[in-house]
Amino acid sequence: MAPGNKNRKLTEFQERHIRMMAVLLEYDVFDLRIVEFVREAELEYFSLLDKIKFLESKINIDEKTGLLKYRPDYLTNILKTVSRIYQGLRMNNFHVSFVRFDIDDFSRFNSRYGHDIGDQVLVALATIIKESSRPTDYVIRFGGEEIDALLPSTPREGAATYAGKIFGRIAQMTIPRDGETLKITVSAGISTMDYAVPENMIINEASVADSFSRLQTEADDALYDAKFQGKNRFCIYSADKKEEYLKIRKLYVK
Amino acid sequence: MEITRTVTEGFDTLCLKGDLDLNNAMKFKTLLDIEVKNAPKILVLDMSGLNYIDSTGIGILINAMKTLKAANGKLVLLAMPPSIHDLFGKTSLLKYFLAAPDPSHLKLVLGTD
Repeated sequence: MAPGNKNRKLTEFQERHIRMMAVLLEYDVFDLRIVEFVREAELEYFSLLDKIKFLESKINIDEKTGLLKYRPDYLTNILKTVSRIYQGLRMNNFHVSFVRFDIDDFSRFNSRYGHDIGDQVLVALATIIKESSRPTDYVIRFGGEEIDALLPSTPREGAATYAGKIFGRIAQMTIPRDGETLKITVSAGISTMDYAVPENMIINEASVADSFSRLQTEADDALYDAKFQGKNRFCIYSADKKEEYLKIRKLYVK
Repeated sequence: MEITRTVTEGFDTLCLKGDLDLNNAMKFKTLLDIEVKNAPKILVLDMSGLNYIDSTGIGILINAMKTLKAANGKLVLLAMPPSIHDLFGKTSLLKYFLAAPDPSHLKLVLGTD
Protein backbone atom coordinates (compact mmCIF):
# COMPACT_ATOMS: atom_id res chain seq x y z
CA MET A 1 0.00 0.00 0.00
CA ALA A 2 1.31 3.41 -0.93
CA PRO A 3 2.86 5.77 1.63
CA GLY A 4 0.40 8.30 3.00
CA ASN A 5 -2.51 5.89 2.84
CA LYS A 6 -4.39 6.03 6.15
CA ASN A 7 -5.17 2.30 5.98
CA ARG A 8 -1.60 1.21 5.40
CA LYS A 9 -0.99 -1.98 7.38
CA LEU A 10 2.00 -4.15 8.14
CA THR A 11 2.23 -7.55 6.51
CA GLU A 12 2.62 -10.78 8.52
CA PHE A 13 6.18 -10.89 7.27
CA GLN A 14 6.96 -7.47 8.77
CA GLU A 15 5.20 -8.27 12.06
CA ARG A 16 7.30 -11.42 12.38
CA HIS A 17 10.41 -9.28 12.06
CA ILE A 18 9.19 -6.97 14.84
CA ARG A 19 8.51 -9.96 17.12
CA MET A 20 11.99 -11.27 16.36
CA MET A 21 13.52 -7.92 17.31
CA ALA A 22 11.47 -7.90 20.54
CA VAL A 23 12.90 -11.33 21.44
CA LEU A 24 16.44 -10.13 20.73
CA LEU A 25 15.75 -7.11 22.92
CA GLU A 26 14.45 -9.36 25.70
CA TYR A 27 17.72 -11.29 25.70
CA ASP A 28 19.70 -8.06 25.36
CA VAL A 29 21.31 -9.16 22.11
CA PHE A 30 19.67 -6.59 19.85
CA ASP A 31 22.15 -5.03 17.48
CA LEU A 32 21.81 -2.34 14.80
CA ARG A 33 23.03 -4.82 12.18
CA ILE A 34 19.74 -6.70 12.71
CA VAL A 35 17.84 -3.64 11.46
CA GLU A 36 19.95 -3.58 8.32
CA PHE A 37 19.25 -7.30 7.72
CA VAL A 38 15.54 -6.73 8.28
CA ARG A 39 15.58 -3.82 5.86
CA GLU A 40 17.38 -5.84 3.18
CA ALA A 41 15.04 -8.80 3.64
CA GLU A 42 11.99 -6.55 3.33
CA LEU A 43 13.33 -4.75 0.27
CA GLU A 44 13.83 -8.14 -1.35
CA TYR A 45 10.39 -9.33 -0.23
CA PHE A 46 8.62 -6.27 -1.64
CA SER A 47 10.65 -6.46 -4.86
CA LEU A 48 9.49 -10.06 -5.27
CA LEU A 49 5.88 -9.05 -4.62
CA ASP A 50 6.21 -6.37 -7.29
CA LYS A 51 7.72 -8.88 -9.68
CA ILE A 52 4.87 -11.34 -9.10
CA LYS A 53 2.32 -8.59 -9.72
CA PHE A 54 4.15 -7.58 -12.89
CA LEU A 55 4.32 -11.18 -14.14
CA GLU A 56 0.65 -11.74 -13.34
CA SER A 57 -0.23 -8.70 -15.43
CA LYS A 58 1.80 -10.15 -18.29
CA ILE A 59 0.18 -13.58 -18.28
CA ASN A 60 -2.01 -13.89 -21.30
CA ILE A 61 -5.29 -15.55 -20.52
CA ASP A 62 -7.80 -16.29 -23.26
CA GLU A 63 -11.02 -14.64 -22.07
CA LYS A 64 -13.40 -17.12 -23.65
CA THR A 65 -11.89 -20.37 -22.36
CA GLY A 66 -9.79 -19.22 -19.39
CA LEU A 67 -6.83 -21.10 -20.92
CA LEU A 68 -3.39 -19.67 -21.57
CA LYS A 69 -2.83 -17.84 -24.81
CA TYR A 70 -0.02 -19.17 -26.94
CA ARG A 71 3.52 -18.01 -26.14
CA PRO A 72 6.67 -19.41 -27.74
CA ASP A 73 8.60 -19.55 -24.45
CA TYR A 74 6.56 -22.06 -22.40
CA LEU A 75 9.01 -24.88 -23.09
CA THR A 76 11.90 -22.58 -22.16
CA ASN A 77 10.19 -21.94 -18.80
CA ILE A 78 9.77 -25.66 -18.22
CA LEU A 79 13.41 -26.44 -18.96
CA LYS A 80 14.64 -23.51 -16.86
CA THR A 81 12.63 -24.82 -13.91
CA VAL A 82 14.00 -28.32 -14.44
CA SER A 83 17.58 -27.08 -14.54
CA ARG A 84 16.98 -25.13 -11.31
CA ILE A 85 15.34 -28.04 -9.50
CA TYR A 86 17.89 -30.60 -10.61
CA GLN A 87 20.89 -28.28 -10.35
CA GLY A 88 24.02 -30.39 -9.84
CA LEU A 89 22.26 -33.60 -10.82
CA ARG A 90 22.51 -35.29 -14.19
CA MET A 91 19.23 -36.46 -15.76
CA ASN A 92 19.43 -38.37 -18.98
CA ASN A 93 15.78 -38.51 -19.88
CA PHE A 94 13.51 -35.62 -19.17
CA HIS A 95 10.41 -36.12 -21.30
CA VAL A 96 8.12 -33.38 -22.46
CA SER A 97 4.97 -34.32 -24.35
CA PHE A 98 2.68 -32.17 -26.39
CA VAL A 99 -0.93 -32.84 -27.36
CA ARG A 100 -2.86 -30.81 -29.93
CA PHE A 101 -6.65 -31.27 -29.78
CA ASP A 102 -8.89 -30.15 -32.62
CA ILE A 103 -12.69 -30.28 -32.71
CA ASP A 104 -13.85 -32.32 -35.70
CA ASP A 105 -15.88 -30.47 -38.36
CA PHE A 106 -16.20 -27.45 -36.13
CA SER A 107 -16.83 -25.00 -39.00
CA ARG A 108 -19.76 -27.09 -40.14
CA PHE A 109 -21.02 -27.34 -36.53
CA ASN A 110 -20.85 -23.54 -36.16
CA SER A 111 -22.64 -22.96 -39.47
CA ARG A 112 -25.41 -25.32 -38.46
CA TYR A 113 -25.94 -24.36 -34.80
CA GLY A 114 -24.47 -20.88 -34.59
CA HIS A 115 -21.40 -19.44 -32.93
CA ASP A 116 -22.95 -19.17 -29.45
CA ILE A 117 -23.39 -22.94 -29.30
CA GLY A 118 -19.94 -23.33 -30.84
CA ASP A 119 -18.51 -21.22 -28.01
CA GLN A 120 -20.28 -23.40 -25.44
CA VAL A 121 -18.64 -26.45 -26.97
CA LEU A 122 -15.24 -24.80 -26.89
CA VAL A 123 -15.62 -23.80 -23.23
CA ALA A 124 -16.86 -27.29 -22.28
CA LEU A 125 -13.89 -28.91 -24.03
CA ALA A 126 -11.44 -26.45 -22.43
CA THR A 127 -12.90 -27.30 -19.01
CA ILE A 128 -12.48 -31.05 -19.56
CA ILE A 129 -8.87 -30.65 -20.68
CA LYS A 130 -8.01 -28.25 -17.86
CA GLU A 131 -9.62 -30.50 -15.24
CA SER A 132 -7.72 -33.51 -16.58
CA SER A 133 -4.37 -31.70 -16.43
CA ARG A 134 -1.88 -31.19 -13.61
CA PRO A 135 -1.07 -27.75 -12.23
CA THR A 136 2.35 -28.02 -13.87
CA ASP A 137 0.87 -28.60 -17.33
CA TYR A 138 0.37 -25.73 -19.77
CA VAL A 139 -3.08 -25.83 -21.36
CA ILE A 140 -3.18 -23.36 -24.21
CA ARG A 141 -5.83 -22.13 -26.60
CA PHE A 142 -3.80 -22.24 -29.78
CA GLY A 143 -6.31 -20.97 -32.29
CA GLY A 144 -10.01 -21.14 -33.16
CA GLU A 145 -10.89 -24.69 -32.19
CA GLU A 146 -7.44 -26.00 -31.33
CA ILE A 147 -6.30 -26.57 -27.75
CA ASP A 148 -2.75 -27.59 -26.86
CA ALA A 149 -1.40 -29.25 -23.75
CA LEU A 150 2.30 -29.07 -22.95
CA LEU A 151 3.09 -31.76 -20.40
CA PRO A 152 6.40 -31.65 -18.49
CA SER A 153 7.86 -34.91 -17.10
CA THR A 154 5.56 -36.95 -19.33
CA PRO A 155 6.77 -39.73 -21.60
CA ARG A 156 4.85 -40.86 -24.68
CA GLU A 157 2.84 -43.51 -22.77
CA GLY A 158 1.86 -40.97 -20.11
CA ALA A 159 0.63 -38.58 -22.80
CA ALA A 160 -1.41 -41.39 -24.40
CA THR A 161 -3.02 -42.21 -21.03
CA TYR A 162 -3.76 -38.50 -20.54
CA ALA A 163 -5.34 -38.19 -24.00
CA GLY A 164 -7.32 -41.41 -23.45
CA LYS A 165 -8.79 -40.03 -20.24
CA ILE A 166 -9.82 -36.82 -22.00
CA PHE A 167 -11.34 -38.68 -24.95
CA GLY A 168 -13.38 -40.74 -22.47
CA ARG A 169 -14.81 -37.57 -20.98
CA ILE A 170 -15.45 -35.96 -24.39
CA ALA A 171 -17.51 -39.02 -25.36
CA GLN A 172 -19.78 -38.29 -22.37
CA MET A 173 -20.00 -34.56 -23.12
CA THR A 174 -23.34 -33.24 -24.33
CA ILE A 175 -24.50 -29.76 -25.22
CA PRO A 176 -28.23 -29.08 -24.71
CA ARG A 177 -29.98 -26.99 -27.37
CA ASP A 178 -33.74 -26.45 -27.71
CA GLY A 179 -34.55 -29.89 -26.33
CA GLU A 180 -31.89 -31.44 -28.52
CA THR A 181 -28.69 -32.96 -27.18
CA LEU A 182 -25.67 -32.17 -29.30
CA LYS A 183 -22.41 -34.08 -29.29
CA ILE A 184 -19.05 -33.42 -30.83
CA THR A 185 -15.93 -35.42 -31.49
CA VAL A 186 -12.31 -34.40 -31.28
CA SER A 187 -9.06 -35.53 -32.91
CA ALA A 188 -5.62 -35.15 -31.40
CA GLY A 189 -1.96 -35.60 -32.20
CA ILE A 190 0.76 -36.40 -29.66
CA SER A 191 4.48 -35.74 -29.84
CA THR A 192 7.25 -36.22 -27.29
CA MET A 193 10.82 -35.01 -26.87
CA ASP A 194 13.49 -36.39 -24.58
CA TYR A 195 15.97 -33.94 -23.11
CA ALA A 196 19.26 -34.78 -21.49
CA VAL A 197 19.76 -32.50 -18.51
CA PRO A 198 23.47 -32.17 -17.75
CA GLU A 199 24.82 -31.23 -14.33
CA ASN A 200 24.95 -27.55 -15.18
CA MET A 201 22.46 -26.98 -17.91
CA ILE A 202 22.71 -23.78 -19.92
CA ILE A 203 19.46 -23.02 -21.69
CA ASN A 204 19.89 -21.93 -25.27
CA GLU A 205 16.60 -20.11 -25.81
CA ALA A 206 16.78 -20.17 -29.62
CA SER A 207 17.41 -23.89 -29.66
CA VAL A 208 14.57 -24.54 -27.17
CA ALA A 209 12.24 -22.40 -29.30
CA ASP A 210 13.16 -24.60 -32.30
CA SER A 211 12.50 -27.67 -30.22
CA PHE A 212 9.06 -26.33 -29.25
CA SER A 213 8.28 -25.66 -32.92
CA ARG A 214 9.29 -29.22 -33.76
CA LEU A 215 7.06 -30.62 -31.01
CA GLN A 216 4.15 -28.70 -32.51
CA THR A 217 4.88 -29.74 -36.08
CA GLU A 218 5.10 -33.40 -35.07
CA ALA A 219 1.87 -33.20 -33.05
CA ASP A 220 0.27 -31.57 -36.09
CA ASP A 221 1.45 -34.45 -38.30
CA ALA A 222 -0.10 -36.91 -35.88
CA LEU A 223 -3.28 -34.82 -35.73
CA TYR A 224 -3.60 -34.90 -39.54
CA ASP A 225 -3.10 -38.64 -39.37
CA ALA A 226 -5.95 -38.93 -36.84
CA LYS A 227 -8.22 -36.89 -39.12
CA PHE A 228 -7.18 -38.98 -42.11
CA GLN A 229 -7.96 -42.20 -40.26
CA GLY A 230 -11.55 -41.10 -39.70
CA LYS A 231 -11.39 -38.51 -36.85
CA ASN A 232 -12.58 -39.01 -33.24
CA ARG A 233 -9.24 -40.49 -32.20
CA PHE A 234 -5.72 -39.55 -31.26
CA CYS A 235 -2.49 -40.59 -32.96
CA ILE A 236 1.07 -40.59 -31.69
CA TYR A 237 3.78 -39.13 -33.90
CA SER A 238 6.18 -41.68 -35.36
CA ALA A 239 9.40 -40.67 -37.13
CA ASP A 240 8.96 -43.76 -39.37
CA LYS A 241 5.85 -42.24 -40.94
CA LYS A 242 7.39 -38.99 -42.22
CA GLU A 243 6.65 -39.77 -45.90
CA GLU A 244 3.09 -40.73 -45.05
CA TYR A 245 2.54 -37.49 -43.11
CA LEU A 246 3.71 -35.48 -46.13
CA LYS A 247 1.20 -37.28 -48.38
CA ILE A 248 -1.63 -36.76 -45.89
CA ARG A 249 -0.85 -33.05 -45.55
CA LYS A 250 -0.83 -32.70 -49.35
CA LEU A 251 -4.28 -34.32 -49.48
CA TYR A 252 -5.59 -31.87 -46.90
CA VAL A 253 -4.11 -28.88 -48.74
CA LYS A 254 -5.86 -30.04 -51.89
CA MET B 1 8.00 11.82 6.48
CA GLU B 2 8.49 15.20 8.11
CA ILE B 3 10.58 15.63 11.26
CA THR B 4 10.53 18.86 13.28
CA ARG B 5 12.23 19.82 16.53
CA THR B 6 10.37 21.34 19.44
CA VAL B 7 10.31 21.37 23.23
CA THR B 8 7.49 19.70 25.14
CA GLU B 9 7.11 20.29 28.86
CA GLY B 10 10.76 21.32 28.88
CA PHE B 11 12.03 18.21 27.06
CA ASP B 12 13.72 18.08 23.67
CA THR B 13 11.22 16.64 21.25
CA LEU B 14 11.26 15.35 17.70
CA CYS B 15 7.83 15.44 16.05
CA LEU B 16 7.25 12.74 13.42
CA LYS B 17 4.65 13.23 10.71
CA GLY B 18 3.66 10.83 7.93
CA ASP B 19 4.99 7.33 7.27
CA LEU B 20 8.20 5.95 8.75
CA ASP B 21 9.16 3.04 6.52
CA LEU B 22 12.13 1.39 4.87
CA ASN B 23 12.33 4.16 2.29
CA ASN B 24 13.05 6.91 4.81
CA ALA B 25 14.14 4.94 7.91
CA MET B 26 17.83 5.54 7.25
CA LYS B 27 17.30 9.31 6.97
CA PHE B 28 15.42 9.17 10.28
CA LYS B 29 18.29 7.18 11.81
CA THR B 30 20.81 9.85 10.76
CA LEU B 31 18.73 12.59 12.41
CA LEU B 32 18.16 10.51 15.51
CA ASP B 33 21.86 9.70 15.74
CA ILE B 34 22.66 13.43 15.86
CA GLU B 35 20.20 13.89 18.75
CA VAL B 36 21.43 10.84 20.60
CA LYS B 37 25.09 11.87 20.19
CA ASN B 38 24.34 14.97 22.25
CA ALA B 39 23.48 12.52 25.02
CA PRO B 40 20.28 14.22 26.21
CA LYS B 41 18.93 12.91 29.48
CA ILE B 42 15.48 12.81 27.99
CA LEU B 43 14.44 12.67 24.34
CA VAL B 44 10.77 12.74 23.42
CA LEU B 45 9.42 11.45 20.12
CA ASP B 46 6.02 12.96 19.42
CA MET B 47 4.29 10.32 17.33
CA SER B 48 0.85 11.96 17.14
CA GLY B 49 1.35 12.77 13.45
CA LEU B 50 2.74 9.36 12.57
CA ASN B 51 0.47 7.44 10.21
CA TYR B 52 2.53 4.27 9.77
CA ILE B 53 5.71 2.70 11.07
CA ASP B 54 7.27 -0.49 9.72
CA SER B 55 9.75 -2.99 11.13
CA THR B 56 12.82 -1.01 10.02
CA GLY B 57 11.45 2.12 11.70
CA ILE B 58 10.76 0.18 14.89
CA GLY B 59 14.26 -1.32 14.75
CA ILE B 60 15.70 2.19 14.65
CA LEU B 61 13.57 3.24 17.65
CA ILE B 62 14.81 0.20 19.59
CA ASN B 63 18.39 1.09 18.72
CA ALA B 64 17.93 4.74 19.81
CA MET B 65 16.29 3.64 23.06
CA LYS B 66 19.19 1.26 23.79
CA THR B 67 21.86 3.83 22.92
CA LEU B 68 20.27 6.47 25.16
CA LYS B 69 19.84 3.97 27.97
CA ALA B 70 23.53 3.05 27.76
CA ALA B 71 24.32 6.76 28.25
CA ASN B 72 21.85 6.95 31.20
CA GLY B 73 19.30 8.76 29.06
CA LYS B 74 15.66 7.98 28.32
CA LEU B 75 13.56 7.89 25.17
CA VAL B 76 9.85 8.58 25.55
CA LEU B 77 7.25 7.83 22.90
CA LEU B 78 4.57 10.48 23.12
CA ALA B 79 0.97 10.27 21.86
CA MET B 80 1.22 7.05 19.88
CA PRO B 81 -1.77 6.67 17.55
CA PRO B 82 -3.99 3.70 18.59
CA SER B 83 -2.92 1.46 15.67
CA ILE B 84 0.78 1.93 16.48
CA HIS B 85 0.14 1.52 20.21
CA ASP B 86 -1.65 -1.78 19.43
CA LEU B 87 1.30 -2.94 17.32
CA PHE B 88 3.74 -2.22 20.16
CA GLY B 89 1.40 -4.07 22.51
CA LYS B 90 0.94 -7.21 20.47
CA THR B 91 4.63 -7.53 19.67
CA SER B 92 5.55 -7.16 23.38
CA LEU B 93 7.55 -4.01 22.75
CA LEU B 94 5.55 -1.74 25.05
CA LYS B 95 7.27 -3.09 28.14
CA TYR B 96 10.65 -1.86 26.89
CA PHE B 97 9.59 1.69 25.98
CA LEU B 98 8.41 4.60 28.06
CA ALA B 99 5.14 5.79 26.52
CA ALA B 100 3.06 8.82 27.43
CA PRO B 101 -0.43 9.27 25.99
CA ASP B 102 -0.14 13.08 26.09
CA PRO B 103 2.27 15.81 27.25
CA SER B 104 0.59 16.09 30.65
CA HIS B 105 1.68 12.52 31.44
CA LEU B 106 5.34 13.02 30.49
CA LYS B 107 6.64 13.86 33.96
CA LEU B 108 4.61 11.07 35.49
CA VAL B 109 6.03 8.53 33.05
CA LEU B 110 9.55 9.82 33.68
CA GLY B 111 9.10 9.77 37.42
CA THR B 112 10.00 13.45 37.71
CA ASP B 113 6.54 14.58 38.83
